[in-house]
Parts: sequence; structure tokens; C-alpha cells
Amino acid sequence: MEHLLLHVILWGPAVGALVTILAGQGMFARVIALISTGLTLVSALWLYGRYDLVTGGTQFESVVPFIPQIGSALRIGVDGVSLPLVLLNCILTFLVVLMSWKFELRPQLYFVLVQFLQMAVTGVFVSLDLLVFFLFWELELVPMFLLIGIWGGVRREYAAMKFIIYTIAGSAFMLVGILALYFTTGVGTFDLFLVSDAARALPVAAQVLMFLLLFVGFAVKVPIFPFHTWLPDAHVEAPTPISVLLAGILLKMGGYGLIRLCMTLLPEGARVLVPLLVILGVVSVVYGAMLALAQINGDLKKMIAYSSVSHMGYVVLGLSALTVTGMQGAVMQMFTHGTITALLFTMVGLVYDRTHTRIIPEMGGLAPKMPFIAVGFVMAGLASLGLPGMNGFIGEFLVFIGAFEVWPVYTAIAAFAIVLTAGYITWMLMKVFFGTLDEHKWHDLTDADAREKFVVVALLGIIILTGVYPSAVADMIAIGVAPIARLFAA
Amino acid sequence: MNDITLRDALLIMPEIVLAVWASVILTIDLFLPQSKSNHRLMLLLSLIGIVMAMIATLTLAGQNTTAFFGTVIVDNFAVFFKVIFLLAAGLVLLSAENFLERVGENAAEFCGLLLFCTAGLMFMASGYELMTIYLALEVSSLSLAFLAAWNKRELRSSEAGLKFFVLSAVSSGILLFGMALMYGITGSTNLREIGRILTTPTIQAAPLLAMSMLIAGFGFKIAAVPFQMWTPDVYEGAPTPVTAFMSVASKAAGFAVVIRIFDVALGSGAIQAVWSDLFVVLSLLTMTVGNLAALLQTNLKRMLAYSSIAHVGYMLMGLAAASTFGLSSVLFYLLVYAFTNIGAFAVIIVMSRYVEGEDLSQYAGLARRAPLLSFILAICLLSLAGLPPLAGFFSKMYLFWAAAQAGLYITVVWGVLNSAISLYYYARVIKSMYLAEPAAEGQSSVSVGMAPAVSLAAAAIGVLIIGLLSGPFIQAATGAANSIVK
Repeated sequence: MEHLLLHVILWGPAVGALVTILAGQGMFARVIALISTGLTLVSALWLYGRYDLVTGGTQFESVVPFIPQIGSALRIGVDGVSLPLVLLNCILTFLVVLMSWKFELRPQLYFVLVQFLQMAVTGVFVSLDLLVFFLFWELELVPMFLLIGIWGGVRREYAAMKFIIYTIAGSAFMLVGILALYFTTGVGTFDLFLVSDAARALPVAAQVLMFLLLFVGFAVKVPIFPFHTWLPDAHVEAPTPISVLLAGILLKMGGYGLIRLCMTLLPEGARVLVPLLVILGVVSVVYGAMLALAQINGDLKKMIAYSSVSHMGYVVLGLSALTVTGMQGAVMQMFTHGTITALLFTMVGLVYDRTHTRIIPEMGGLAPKMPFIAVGFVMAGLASLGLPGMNGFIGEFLVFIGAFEVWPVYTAIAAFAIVLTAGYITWMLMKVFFGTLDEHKWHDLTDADAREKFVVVALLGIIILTGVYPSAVADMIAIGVAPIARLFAA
Repeated sequence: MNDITLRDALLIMPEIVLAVWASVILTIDLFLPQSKSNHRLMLLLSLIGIVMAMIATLTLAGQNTTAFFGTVIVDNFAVFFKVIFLLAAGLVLLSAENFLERVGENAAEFCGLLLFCTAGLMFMASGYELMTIYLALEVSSLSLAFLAAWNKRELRSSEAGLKFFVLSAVSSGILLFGMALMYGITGSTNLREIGRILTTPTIQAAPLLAMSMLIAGFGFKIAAVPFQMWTPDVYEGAPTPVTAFMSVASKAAGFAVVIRIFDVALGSGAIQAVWSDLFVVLSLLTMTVGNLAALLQTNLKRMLAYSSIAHVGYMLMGLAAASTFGLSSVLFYLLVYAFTNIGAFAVIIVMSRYVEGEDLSQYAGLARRAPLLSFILAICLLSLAGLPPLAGFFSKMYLFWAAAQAGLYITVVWGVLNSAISLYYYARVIKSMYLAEPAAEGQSSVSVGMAPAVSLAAAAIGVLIIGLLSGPFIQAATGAANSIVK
């Protein structure tokens, strides 16, 4: 019966969005969104607990006919790679609804879009059909476009347009790649498993070409250098809760696509292109960290945005190892980065709500005025720079172990970037929270209220829990990546 | 040769019904006192006529016979197109309810001409012989020229009418040349006869010249680059309901004739490979020029005119594929395009009561004033851009798919990139509606009216569900395509 629960997780938010459209005036919009995201969160947790780690593989599968003429069906299921990301999506969307509780500008439309977004993202993670995967992938665009464009900052329209143009250009390549897969394999179906069986047998040249086509789509999303330039704009302009979703879960769609489509379907292509992949990954890591460091006298949000580029680079690095440990680290890094960056953006939002500035030098000595926020931000920063005991360490550590066997030099360079990360994080914390306080300017600052504290504590709880007891997630991920890594074992 | 019998007349019943009904409407109008309130009655009468013609058309589904000495044919292909024309005519009339009243010209003329035009288009889809096709084309073109100039007090409208008339006369001339050459070469005007004679394995100059003239002539009608120059001006100047009808029905009819002529008369021998290649070139040119020009437009109608050119480019790809699947994907595309474009134009028609002109800035902040209307325009535009899960995505996918099957990989990649570019100008409208602040405070809320609401709802439902439930529609399109290739 659990496969029905997966449908609840997938369609629950859509139902919530519909109810919000029909009856979501004023307060109801928030309450309905909270109920729908709460229900999906509980369902996701339940499913997570019910996943059978002994058998592994894809579980809770179900098929609903969609377009039988072309061999596409709504085929959904989860495995060790996708289930943690589904759970992450449910957690973050639930917290985002809480975070946005006091939004006054057109709340009805806002919560409709947030729930719609959740459905699209879940759809990407659970689809086992290439066409359906692509449909959900594109479905995410319009809500995000509007969420940035309506509720964003001063340059929101520019950022929203940039976001949608980059993504659509990337997914155009991806669509060509998917259609190419469909035709060259000639299996007459979009079923992921059947296509992958046939695709692996394709000649290397064809695999390389299709890998590149798909890769562009995913690289924009991750984002991998040099496709990353939309990200800082989108992040700086997006409202805080939307930044949380964008960095926390939407970027993971790219990493997930890389491992699920590029690596699984086209292993020979992956083998050829991995040297390129690892270079792009390391450049993303180092360059992202340098850009973040350069923001030390600039925009706090932009700094966190660039840190995302850097941290997602580790995902690419881990994947390029093509080993169980490397891939496990990559997926783990996606999960941990999802929680940490969500917390970081939450903290930025909390600070911004009070100070109404994000320019780092304009702040200083805020810790006594808002002790809870300061502690939360410091914890988030420590998690981000990979302090053992928090989950950021686990992801990066696994990536390094996995990648070092294969790419010792590149891994060493990437590990060096941790110094940069430690640099900008601690420097930024110092500038914002410590030093002298401008009493006159900041006399009416308040600390976090109960609702905000709940969000922070919840995220921090996950970060520490999975940091102290990583097996809660890492075991499942290991089982998920094992069959993929086996493709490269020979 | 047999005599004309009642059976022949029954086979063209839909056209007879429409033509007679149009005359009836014009006659009734003679005896009515001239007043502004006539438009509702005229509209109702026309809709009754359209419904009758639709019923008559649907009863002919499944036939595959010729009538009137093989000059017209009734097959699923013709029926499919006639359904599109009638749907388009019905939806356009519904959406024009308030528009007709506001403009205040004679509504009976509008309705009558639209029905005449539809009858002409239907004959085009049924034409099985060059002269019949030509005459049908002229009936529809003349009606369209008058319709474009219908708004007599508007300078742009008269200009559009005149421009359309002159250019369609020129293109008809070229077409007639091509047809005459074809007759000279083969000694027949019947498409099947021509097809039987033109099976030479080598390419000869005369048929090639005739074919080029046919392509040029029909290129005008469907607005393919480099024969597209008239489109933006005419689309912008003509009364919006006429533009909507032109962009959907008249374009579809052009495709019907092109498909019929090229697949039946020129569908074999060496010449087939030539026009297939030519269509590839036209397709690449048309979509690129259409999309690039659309990027620069700030007038919504003009932008949709260029966007319609781009869509012709996509559809030519399906023709170039020269396969049954290619044809069926073009037919499906036309069906989806009909709903989508009429939906978009219907919003412009409704909004023309509240805003001056069709400049994009007039639509700033529309989502606040008219959330539902903005939503419909948004999904129509996104469907035109080919964003899933809207109908436009699936129609494009089938089309690209058919082209890929025919080995036109470069064209497909180019098409996909083009449709990514196109999102920019469609998204700009959405950006303006949803993100921009309204130009002025205190604008009145928008009331749509009963009849336009029906049309908008039909378009929106079409855009939302035809894609997701494309099974039966693609089946109908395949059936129609099959009936012609045999």
C-alpha cells in the first residue's frame, strides 16, 4: 500500500494548491499550505522509515498510463538516491511555509505557487519515465519565475527573466538529449529502466554526445561553472524562503539528473567525459569560494549564493570519482548542503528582516542584540565549513575519500578551498555579529520569535543529528548508488 | 462519366449549409431596422449555422469518396480540417460579442463574410483539383480582405484590408501560373492524375518551375519566409477577431492545400525529394526570422503575428519529413495551435474594451485587475512557447519527433533552440502582466461577458488537456493523415 503514499507525497501539494485557489483567502492560504506540506512531510518520513534497506533498489513503484501511444507512463518509485532528496524537499517546503507565515503580499498566490513547486520538484525525484521526468522538470520553472518575480527584491524582474532563460535554454538541450536517447535506443518507451538497458549498449561516441546534451541542462541547474551566473542574481533578488528552496532543493535537481540520467544511462560517455567533469567541479569549488570571499564587503546573500556554487562543486567532484564512496559522498553532500544552506539563508533572512540591509560592512556587533540569531548563524557557518559533528563534514569527507583514490591532485586542490570557506564564513560572522555595535542605529533590534526559533532549531537538529549519526541517511544513499557505481567497476 | 446526383450534393452539405446560411443572415439583415443591438441576433444565427455545418461535417467522417467528377473529395483529412475551421469560426464569433457592438459597424456583414470565408476554407480542404482549389482560395481570400477592412472608421483596418487584397492577388497570380504550368505539363488538373503522370525518376525543369511557383504562391498564404512581409501589418491592422481567424483557420487551410497538393500530386518521383529539401530550408528560415523579429516587438498583436510565422516554420518541418507521422503531427499541431492562438487573441479582444491599442505596457499589472484573464493568456503563451505540460509542448514534441524520424536532426535541434528563444518574448508578456505595476491606479476591473467567457474557457481547457490526454487527438490526426496518403 505504500506506493499510494508516494502518490500522496507527489499529488498532496497539488491538491493543497487547488484548495488554496478555491478557498484560500487570507489566513486560510497559510493554514491549508501548512496542512498539505505537513501531511506530505509525515508521509515522506513514514516512507523513509519503511524503505527496505536489505532489498534496496527501487521501491514503492506504481504505473499509471499516460500516453501509451509513445510508450510514456506515469511511472514513479524511489530508491536510495531519490528518497533522501524527496524527504529533504518535504522538510524544506514545510519549513518554508512556516517561514513565510507573515507574508502580506498576495499570500494566496504565494502559497499556491510554493505548493505547486513542491509537487514539481518531488515529481522530478520520483519519476521513472524520461518524459514525465522532463515534464516535472519544466513544471518547476513557472512557479519559480513568479516567486522570484513578484516577491523578490529591487531587480526581481531581471533576475526572474535570467533564471527562466538560462534554465529553459539548458532544458532545450536536455529535451534533445532525451529524444535522442529515445530514438537511438529504439526501445519505443520512455521507461527509465528499459531505456537505460538499451542505452548502455550504445557506441561510445553516441553516448558522449547525448551525455553532453543532457549535461548542459543539469549543469545550469547545479550550477556548474561556467553556467552559474544566473544563481547570484536569482538568490539576491528572491525572498528568503524562496532562496531556501532554490539553494536547498532546486539545485539538487541538477545533481540528481547528473547521477540518474547522465551516469546511469550513459556510463561509457561518463567514463570519457569524467576528466572534464572533475575539472569543472574543482573550478566550481575554488572559484565559487573565491567569489564568496570577494563578497566580504558586499552582499551577505550573494556570499551564501556563491558558497552554494562552491559546495555544489563537491557534488560534481564526488560523482566524477565513479566509485561507491565518491557517489555516496556526492549524494550525501546534496542532502547536507540542502539542510545547511537552507539554514544559512534562513539566518540571512532573519538578520535582513531586522536590519533591512544585507551589506556586511553596514552591520557589526549584532550578537548582544540578537543572541539566538547569532548562535544560530554561527552554528550554520560552522556546519558550512565542515566542522566534524555536523553533517557538512560527512558529505565533504566522503567526497574527499572517494575522489582522492581517483583524482588525488584535483581533490587536494578542492580540499584547499575549505580554507577559503573557513575564511569567508568566520570573517563574515565576525563582521556581522562581533565588533562594536552602533547603538544608535540598531537600538530597536529584536531576537527571533518562537516561530522563527522553531525553524532554526528544526534545521539545526537535522544538521547535528545526521552529523553525529550519518548512517540515518548515508546507509540508504550507499544502497542507492551501489548499482550505479557497479556500472563503472569493470 | 456519371451525372451529378444527390449524393454529390450531400457530400458538400457542410459548405452548402454555411453558404446558404450566410446568405440568409445577410437577407434577414436587410429587413431589420439598422441598430447596434442587431449584433447579438446575428451572432446567434451564425452560431446556429456553424453548429449545423459542424453536424453535417461530422456525419461525413469516415467517408473516402470524390464528388462532382472528382473535383472535391471527402475524406477524414478534409473532415479534420473542416472541424478546425468551424471550431475556429465559432470560438472567434463568441469572443467577438462585445467587440462587434463596440465597433458599431454592420455585424451582419461580419458574420456573413466570416461564414462565406469558412465555406471557402472548407472547399480548400476538400479540393481535389487545381481549379477548385484556386476558386475556393479566392472565395476565402476575398472574404478575408473585406473582413480585414471591416472596421471602416479605423485607418489601420482599411490599410490592412487593402494590403491583404493586393498581396493576395499577387500571390494568387503566381499560384495560377504554377497551376497553369502544371496543367500544361500533365494535361490534367486533377491531383491524382497529376501524381500519376509526374513519376519521372529524373528532375525536369518544367515541373520544377511549376512546383516553385506553387510553393511561392502558397508561401504567401501560410506566411512562410520569405513570403511573410504582409503578415505583421495585416495582423496588426485587421480587427482582432479577424486576425485570430486568419492566423488559425486561413493558415490551417493553406496547410491543408499544401499537404494535399504536395503529397498527392507531387508525392512521388524525384520531385518529392526536391520539395522536401526546400521545405527544410523554408522551415529553418521561417522559424528563425519569425522568432528573431518577435523578440523586438512591443505590440502584442504584432508579436503574435511574428510568432505565428515562427510556428509556420515549425510546421513546415513536419511537411519536410514527408511521412505519415509527419503529416499527423502537423495536423495535431494545427489543432492545438487553433485553441492556443484563439485563446490568446480572445484575451486581447476582451481587453480591447479597456485598453488603448495592444501595446505591451497596457497589460502591465493585468493580473491584479483580471486574474483569470491573465492566467488564460499566460497558459496560452506558455503553450505557444512549448512549455510542458501544456498542449503546445506535446504538439511540438510530436513534430520534432516526426522530423527526427525522418533524419532531419539539424532542423530539430534548431527548432528546439528556436523554441527556447521564443520563450523570451512570450515570458515578457507574462512578466508584464504578473510582475509589473499597473500603469495607472484605480483602473476598473474587467468584465468578460458570457459569450467571450465560453470561448476563453474552451480555449483554456483545450490548452490544458489536449496535451495530457493527447491519445484520441493524435489518433484522429493519424487517421486523417492516413486517409490522404493512401
